[in-house]
Amino acid sequence: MHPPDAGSEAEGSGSEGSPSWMDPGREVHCVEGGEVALALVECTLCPKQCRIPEGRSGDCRVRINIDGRLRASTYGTVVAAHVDPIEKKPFFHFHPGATALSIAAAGCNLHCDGCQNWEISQANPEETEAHPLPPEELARMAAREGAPLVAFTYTDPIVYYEYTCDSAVACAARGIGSVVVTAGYANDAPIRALFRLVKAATIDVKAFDDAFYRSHCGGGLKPVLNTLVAAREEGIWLEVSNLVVPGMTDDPVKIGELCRWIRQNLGEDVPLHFLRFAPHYRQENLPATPVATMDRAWQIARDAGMRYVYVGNVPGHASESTKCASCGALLIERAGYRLLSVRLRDGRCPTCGSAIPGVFGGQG
Amino acid sequence: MKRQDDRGDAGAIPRRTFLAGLVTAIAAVLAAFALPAWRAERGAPEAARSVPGPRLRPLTRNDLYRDHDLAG
Repeated sequence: MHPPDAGSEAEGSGSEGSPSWMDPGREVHCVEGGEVALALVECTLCPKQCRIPEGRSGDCRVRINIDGRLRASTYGTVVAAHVDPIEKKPFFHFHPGATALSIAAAGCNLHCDGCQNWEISQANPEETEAHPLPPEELARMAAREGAPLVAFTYTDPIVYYEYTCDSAVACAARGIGSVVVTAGYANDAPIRALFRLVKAATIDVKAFDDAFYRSHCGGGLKPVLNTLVAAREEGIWLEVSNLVVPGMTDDPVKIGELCRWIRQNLGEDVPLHFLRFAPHYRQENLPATPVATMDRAWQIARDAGMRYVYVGNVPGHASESTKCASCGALLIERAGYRLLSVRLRDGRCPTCGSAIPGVFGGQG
Repeated sequence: MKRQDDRGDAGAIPRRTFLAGLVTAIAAVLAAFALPAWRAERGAPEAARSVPGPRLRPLTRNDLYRDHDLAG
């Protein structure tokens, strides 16, 4: 399989709904002593805007300058593919109980010290074992497995952008919805083009702290906030997650700032998931987050006015079920990622009649 | 009648055979090393660079349903 140009409209994706964002990279030059010394191609997909010499990849390890054009080396291959409950992504207000064929390609444009999936996100694609899965075949597989959704997750769909876009188009043609789980570190035009092809996004905010992004993730906060606003403006269903790392991202002040920003810019009904950290990658020396810290984050968010707040990676936690923010009635009962019951009626609380934010399809 | 210099001694390589072998050897060396380098330098249009990527193995149904500990 020959991967299409990165950032351009991919081969075979000329159907309606293909991304309007087209940029095969900008050619720039290093000039030494008045002479062009080295031709580079600048990737414009994410804010890093890597200037990539011939034959080399950008910071994500995926997007390669071949003969002066960018190519996505992982196009049409997946390094992980699993049928998961949608709750695992996490999505708690989007088709509860649905299964999602969840896939990832290798690589990431962030390099978080505590990455939970570092084996595939921080790997060079050439060093991984992957499975060929062209967009059409992915859509066929989802239909065959009875999965109404395909999730682009585990690593970051930003770096396998063309594959995500083409796959979303192929899935839509079969009536299968697409969702993305992303850190949101992308430029505005491409991320908006992607959002126009998918139904929902969970965006992981690492911390409400630009210095943390710079020192522990190799990124920055502002583009992520822009992506959150873009998701809201593009009208897709949005949930937000935040990994609470002890001593790193558990500062109550910063958590409070994050919650207030979300409330002011995205609204109080956006589901917010605080995820418990387990030691991984360069932060194996840290302990797992104490449950009391997770409880505190939950309370801070509620005090800030967020109405649907969840604690993840703590099986049996009181917050893993959805309760009506108006009257407290149990609406969606979960045990871990397992759905036990949905008691919504036409998307409303059966007790007080309040509308519950979300996309519930025929489930309530 | 054969020419004197083609007769040779018993066990010696005839000149024509030697020359043919030499030409073949030079052609093989050119084909193996010099021509590809020259073509690459010229940027032969059909010599599109292959894109490096992962090692590939077919996806099985077991892959889809086996337990995993990936986040997300």
